[in-house]
Amino acid sequence: MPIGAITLVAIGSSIKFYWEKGMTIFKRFQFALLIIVLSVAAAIVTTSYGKREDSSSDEITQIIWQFHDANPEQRSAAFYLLVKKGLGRELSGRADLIPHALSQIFKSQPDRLDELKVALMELLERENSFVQEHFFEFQRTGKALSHNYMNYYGDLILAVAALRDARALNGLLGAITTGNMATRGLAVLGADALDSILGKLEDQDVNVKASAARVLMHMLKMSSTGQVKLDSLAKEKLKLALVRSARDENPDTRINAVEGLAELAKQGDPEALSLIEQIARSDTYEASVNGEKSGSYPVREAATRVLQSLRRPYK
Amino acid sequence: MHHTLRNVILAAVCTLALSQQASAQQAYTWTWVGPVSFETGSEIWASADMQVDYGYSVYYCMDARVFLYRDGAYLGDGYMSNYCVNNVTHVSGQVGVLNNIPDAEYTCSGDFTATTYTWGETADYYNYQAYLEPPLVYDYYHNTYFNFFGSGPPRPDIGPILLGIVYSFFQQGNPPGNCGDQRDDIRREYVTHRVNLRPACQDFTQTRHGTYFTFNELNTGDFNWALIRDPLIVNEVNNYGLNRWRLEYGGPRIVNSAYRNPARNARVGGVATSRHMHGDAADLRNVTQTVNEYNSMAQAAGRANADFIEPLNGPCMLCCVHADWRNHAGGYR
Repeated sequence: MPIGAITLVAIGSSIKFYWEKGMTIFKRFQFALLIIVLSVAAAIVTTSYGKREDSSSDEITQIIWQFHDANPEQRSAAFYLLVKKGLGRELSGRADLIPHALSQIFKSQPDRLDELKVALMELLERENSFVQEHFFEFQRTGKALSHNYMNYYGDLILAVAALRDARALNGLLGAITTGNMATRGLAVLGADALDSILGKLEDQDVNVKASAARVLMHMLKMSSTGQVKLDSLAKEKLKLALVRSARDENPDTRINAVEGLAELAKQGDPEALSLIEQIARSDTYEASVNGEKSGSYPVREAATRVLQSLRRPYK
Repeated sequence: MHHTLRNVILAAVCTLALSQQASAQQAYTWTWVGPVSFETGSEIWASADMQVDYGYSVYYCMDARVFLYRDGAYLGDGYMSNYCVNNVTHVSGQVGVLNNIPDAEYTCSGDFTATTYTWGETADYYNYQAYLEPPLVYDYYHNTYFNFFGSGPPRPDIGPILLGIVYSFFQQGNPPGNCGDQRDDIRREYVTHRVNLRPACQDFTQTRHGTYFTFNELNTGDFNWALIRDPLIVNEVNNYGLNRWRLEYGGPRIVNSAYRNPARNARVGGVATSRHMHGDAADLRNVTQTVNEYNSMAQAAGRANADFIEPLNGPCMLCCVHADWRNHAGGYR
């Protein structure tokens, strides 16, 4: 733009100067030709200058487009290209730098911030579906997903969790069983995610159910440190869900619920404390290790550990 | 004015350094003073950007290591990530991080010095240019990055920082490192297998272990040395890591795989991005190979705050459960 403006000012000044001096018709014709040539040149320069400015944006468009590729390797390549673009170098295994890489990209492309976020969130939903669909193939053929894909999937979950965007709910819910990045990513969404997470407590998959209880525990912890805001209605819903989960038939769900109840007990809820004490005394689940009874009672032990930590003076 | 003068001096020093032809252990040094303060867990970033024009195709790797001192006393060191490319005539881009600063309060003032060494593997050097960009500090405590020159957010506790960077190039034929033992072989594997990690000699261990896991259990590589990152073996009271995973599961577990050197990793079908070569991942065996046991182990890993647990249709399948702590901070010592 500045180049175009300068050229136009220069042409305008020249015209004024020469017309004032007086010119023959032939010279005027020559001059008109010169102006046309200069105008075309200015247009070309201005356009190419604009193109250079847009090249980074074009690359982003290409990356987002590649997120939709049917081939997961292409999607993965596009994701890491985006990360590299933000970081200015290869990730070099430093997965913890992904949020920083994205924030750099967002800063450099403020007008495409939302588009990029949505693209990443949709990408995770796409990968969740891919993993789920592959599971049926896996059951049929025994062929597992590749190491490369698994690493990419993990890094993508990290990226989407770091967005802290309520629209990431579906993507993160689809990855709820994949560990701390997803469960904490869900918890940080707070009340926006609560109903969906409560719904997962009814899931047939015990891993989903137990992971949902874990999200509730994280959410309570985060609310106690002010990271997440929960009103009294949300807290009440959450408490009821934890009480119910503490009686779930799945022992892992019960352990996670006990840890959530501990947060309520810390906040002075006597009912939560009493339930933990009851579980510490009477939960009957005995773990089996390698298919044999181990003499270990993980739910009871978890409740006992929680009670010990509650009695410990806080720093 | 103060900043301008400083930058002019820096530019002069850089120009002087960069104008010299490469020779064995040629050093490039510049120094500056800037206000900065650290918090526990801060990371120093030193960014180096190198441009090489060869005029013909080469395979090239570049690497660097940063050593940090305060008031002459060694504080820690870290590894600058590599940049490896094949069949190129032009190389650029290099950034590094110092992530092994020991736990301590760095809000006090003091003279800090840092030294960076780097090496390259290439057919030849000529007509090159090199730049070191201003190092950045990543402050975990405030979750911000700021420039080591002090141009980032204002810091409440400022102290004089003296950072000297020695930037050395080693000529053709020099191996990547001089540990003088098997570690050199392992480090070469990181180059030849194109793994984006350049461990230093002191990153390797022959002894690191956890409460429930011996070094030999954690070292599932071909050598007597391994890379084991803090989050993997941190004490179980920290509520994360492999020891916590074992505690949460409630019984002993066999380690199918933890640290793998790159050649070993490739032999077992792992890829260049595998967390096993970074030393923050473990596969624990699912002895009964039942879904029930898999679920119990996966949930226990979740309670051990594993950042990522591979799904059942991942490479482990029902044989083991893979968990890693990729998003937890911590170094190799």
